[in-house]
Amino acid sequence: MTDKIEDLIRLYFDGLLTPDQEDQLNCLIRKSPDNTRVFSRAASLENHLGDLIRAGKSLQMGNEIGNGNPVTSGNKKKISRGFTIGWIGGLTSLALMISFLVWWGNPGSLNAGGEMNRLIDASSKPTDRTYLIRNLDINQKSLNDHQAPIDGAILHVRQPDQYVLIRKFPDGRAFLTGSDGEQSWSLPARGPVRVSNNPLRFRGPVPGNQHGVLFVNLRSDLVQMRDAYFIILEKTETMGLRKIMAEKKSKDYRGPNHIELWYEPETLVIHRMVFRGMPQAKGGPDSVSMELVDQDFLGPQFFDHNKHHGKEIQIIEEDY
Amino acid sequence: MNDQARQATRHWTVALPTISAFVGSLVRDIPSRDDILQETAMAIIDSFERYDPGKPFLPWAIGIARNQVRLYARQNVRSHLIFDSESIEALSESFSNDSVITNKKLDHLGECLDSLDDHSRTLCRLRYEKDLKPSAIGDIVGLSPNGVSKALQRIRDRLRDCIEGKWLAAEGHP
Repeated sequence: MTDKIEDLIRLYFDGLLTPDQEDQLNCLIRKSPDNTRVFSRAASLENHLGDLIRAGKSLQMGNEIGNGNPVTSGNKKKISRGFTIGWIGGLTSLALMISFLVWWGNPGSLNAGGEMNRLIDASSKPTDRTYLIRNLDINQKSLNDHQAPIDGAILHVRQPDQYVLIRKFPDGRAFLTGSDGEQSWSLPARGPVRVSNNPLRFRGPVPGNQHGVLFVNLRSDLVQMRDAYFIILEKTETMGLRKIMAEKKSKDYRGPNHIELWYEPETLVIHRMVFRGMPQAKGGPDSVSMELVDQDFLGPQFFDHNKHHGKEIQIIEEDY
Repeated sequence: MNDQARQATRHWTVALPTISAFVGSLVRDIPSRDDILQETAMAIIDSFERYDPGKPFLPWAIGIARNQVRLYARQNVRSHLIFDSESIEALSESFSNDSVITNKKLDHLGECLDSLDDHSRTLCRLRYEKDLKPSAIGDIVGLSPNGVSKALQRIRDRLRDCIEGKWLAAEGHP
């Protein structure tokens, strides 16, 4: 049986061709320029469509939380409606244009680089930051009774390398992990607190932990982002926030494939970060967002585990 | 930036959507496609002195991209390119003849995506953003793999009609 060229093209793009159908498609492509024209037009649409959607083109679904929009920021700014990015091509295409320009030493790329440098300079300020984390995956992995969800978690950070991550089970019990910069610790909903001299010991649940870019140490992670990613500055602002998009230059670098930063151009405060395409080797979500909800000082002992439990709790010191 | 660099950048910017579609039509893995495009960009820069400005840029650039695809296929023996040399030649020619109009029409795709219903958006995101195969999408939405593929094709057809209509309207046709 011979299939129509349109059906074979559809099956090819969806990865459903059988070996016989692959031969048929080859034959039809060789046979007639009309067929190659049909194929190339379909391929152009397919390529552009995929690039637009992967780049986050406005495809917000009614039941999807916070995908693409900054909803809350540190100064209580509300941005309530979806935005439409004025793409002329996919993020990848833009990144390739940028790389082409960078290769020739074109000053057009300096704006994005300059903005990154401004953000890096501003990130040294010793300000406490509190983020609300959202899991943006459409199909979120089911968790067992011992796994606290990352969606809805609160992350407090202070330079350098101090953090407290608070995840809550559906019944309201909290699971805390954190570090005061010297010791890391884990405080489960029940049982003893575990403390380790390895500051990375309990970072597992923090988004991006396995991925190189973490943003607990904002400055060093912005530097890595500047160096390991194609940086694209979107010059039009949305509700007073400017957006930087970054696409990883090479699979050799660790880190999510795409990063978005939304920041205030005057204060350089980053209000929203989106990470997409995070490696899945150790589980965890593919895409998460982190919304800045507060910048208030958290107190001198906040990142010490003793601040978060009573004196009666058992403390287990670990050697690693 | 010198004049030659300016010319190369101008040509590359115009040709990139077509070159990307050409490479993406042969290599279905997106990271691999992007790697090939990077290599193509570098190869074009390295050999731009040999480009004859009296001839169209796109066929020359497509030829370089085609060579990069072949190099990729040789270096990645497990990559599955279904097209033989003759078909790749035919496709190179077809993409080389691609007109600026094709890309102008595609400029309307973003607006047309906005007009999709929620179900179609879900299918698009599962297919393109999540990179799920029709069988995996079928498990989520309760369709057979072929049913998902046909539904996606109906969306592509709707989008094609939409961009044609918007392009005609933009060009002042009734």
